This record gives sequence, C-alpha cells and structure tokens, in this order.
Amino acid sequence: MAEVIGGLSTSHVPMIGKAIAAKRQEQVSFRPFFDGYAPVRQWVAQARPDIAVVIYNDHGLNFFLDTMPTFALGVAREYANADEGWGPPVPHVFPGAPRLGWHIADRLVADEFDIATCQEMLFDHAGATALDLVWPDGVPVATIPVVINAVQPPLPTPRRCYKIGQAIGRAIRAYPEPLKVLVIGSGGLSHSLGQSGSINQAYDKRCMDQMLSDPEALASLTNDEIVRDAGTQGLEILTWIAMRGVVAGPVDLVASTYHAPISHTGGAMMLFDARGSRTVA
Amino acid sequence: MADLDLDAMGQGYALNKLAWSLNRADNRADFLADEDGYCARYGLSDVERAAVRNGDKQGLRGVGGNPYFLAKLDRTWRIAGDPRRADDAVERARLENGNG
Repeated sequence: MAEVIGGLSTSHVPMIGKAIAAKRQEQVSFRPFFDGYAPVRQWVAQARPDIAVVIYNDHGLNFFLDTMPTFALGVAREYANADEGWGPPVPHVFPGAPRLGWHIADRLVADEFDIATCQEMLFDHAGATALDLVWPDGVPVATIPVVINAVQPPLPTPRRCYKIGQAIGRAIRAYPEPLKVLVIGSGGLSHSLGQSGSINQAYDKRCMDQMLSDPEALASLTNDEIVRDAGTQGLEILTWIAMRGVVAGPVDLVASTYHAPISHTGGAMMLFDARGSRTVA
Repeated sequence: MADLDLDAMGQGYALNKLAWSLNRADNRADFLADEDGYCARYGLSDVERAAVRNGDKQGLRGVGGNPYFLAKLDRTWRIAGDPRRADDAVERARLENGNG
C-alpha cells in the first residue's frame, strides 16, 4: 500500500524563488534559510519519495473569482508554471500522478469532502518554490497539487483543512501500490504587508512547536485569530495545517529552520519523518 | 471569519478581472499603453476607473480590489516606474525623480 513517509512545511516567498533561479542562495541576506535545507536534501536522497502531494494556495494564477473552489485537487498528467505578473518564471513542467490523484479524489468525495478536480491547471510559484527548495537541481518526483482557497472569502477553517488533510492521508494509505509519498504544505508564516499585519516571531515559533506536538491546537484556531496574529497573508498556514493532517499522529522532527525577515515574512521550514508511525487517522 | 459584509461582496469584480489579465506580458503592455482604453474594455465602473487613475492601494481595496490580483497591477506599475506604485510621499518622490 502507499505510504506517507514524511511531511514538509515551508515558506514560499517569491524572493526565495528568485534567489534559487539566480543561484544566489549563498549571497542573500536570508542565506540561513537555504542552509537549513541541507538536512532536507539529505533526507529525501535517502528516503526517495515517489510522489509529492503539494498543498498550497494559488496566488491569482490558475483560479479567478469567476469560479473559486475551496479545495481543488490536480489530476492532470503534467503541470506547467507561468507568468504571475512578475515576468516569465524559470519554466517548469512537473509530471503529475493522475492515477493516485483520481483515487484520492474518489476517496475524498466518498469521505464527504467536496472538491474540484482539475485535469488541467497552472502550477503556482507557491508549489514550485517548495519543490525547487527540496530539489534545486531538478524535481525527480511526480506531483499532485492540492490548492486551498485563500483568495476569496469565505476561506475554509483550520479545522476543515486539518480534516481534509487527514482524509487525504487515509486515501493515500488505501492506495494499493507501494508508493512513497512526501506531502508538502507551502505558505506562511506571519506576514507584514502594509496594514495587513507584522512579522510575529513569537506566534511563528509557537505554531512550529504546535505543528510538531500539538496540531489540534492549530486546527482549533479561527481564521480571525490567525489574521490578528499573523496578518491576512498569514492565513497561508492553512496549508501547513492540512499537511499536518495528512501525516497524522506522532512524527519525528528531522529539521526545522526559521529566518525573519524574508521580504515581509517569517520564513520557516519543518520536515517530519512519518515512517516510525503506523497510525490510521 | 468576521461576519462578511454581504453588500460589499463581489464588488470590484471588473477591476479584479483586469488585474488578473496582467498575468500576461502582452496585456501588461497594452494596459500601460492606454490605461483608460483598457479599463473601458474590462467594463470598469466610474468608481473603479477613478481608483485605478489615482492608484493608491487603500483606494483600490476600498472599491473591492482583491490583494492577490491588485499585486499584479502594483507590479505592472512598479516595473514601469509609475509613481502611483508609491504608497507614501517619500517613495513617490523617489520614483518621480527616476530612482525607482
């Protein structure tokens, strides 16, 4: 059966992607964030996941307000990135995993989660940056994007995101092939964008502690509390919470890093190893 | 979330659609070449057009601009060195003096 071998949560600030594209990871002021990824690359080289389920929020690339799903699941054979208004990005075409994707879709709907399925979609920098951080020399895994609406209120609750993560985890573990799946949650942490909030290191550190040992506390937050403490864009932590639902149960912390600021954001990363845990959520 | 302002929901749709179109380089060029014409093609209301002409972020949000889409409009102006990109007088002066 397929297995969720680990979970990674990461910031995806565009400055990170720019530094990777320009190969300036060692020159930028937030170099410690990149240095923190060394153990992540070692871990994936040893653990060798087959598939990355990448949970992120679209930034007005693939989805417009005409039709805005709360949760969207990619079931395409491949995904390209594209200009998001900042000019053409370093082009990527990520192979998809439609067979597992359709299995997850089927299980989610049966599990009473109402999702949109996408047979064609553009891959936002939020997801691409996360993959580039883990695999800067080329992404060797197939991907399944899971997009959480953070654009148009009403947004899903942290509890709902945690639950859909748990349901995705159950679906993966019921897939009858021995695939190794790494789940990635991309976004956050606290943002300072004009009047929309300020970097809140105490909040960020508390969230990281809770991601490891008390995800229920995060699932119990309200979106208003998140906006109050982390700024409007701090709602991207919903992707972390969903990721944590996928890995489920106790995990081992492989690596974590925190560097503020990266642009206007608390830049954070956590990697969990889930292979010691055989929980069924 | 805090209670939605039901009457404000859906405001700024044309403005947001215009901003979304700026994902494309050709659209960014067309917009910068003739903002009024571009706004007219997207059917912006008078209030939305005034907000675009004025360019300040609070004003654009105030007519229903969504930050995820407004970021593309902001970026389009910034690349063009447009003084409306500036949020405050100091940066505005800096851009107007060609240092942006």
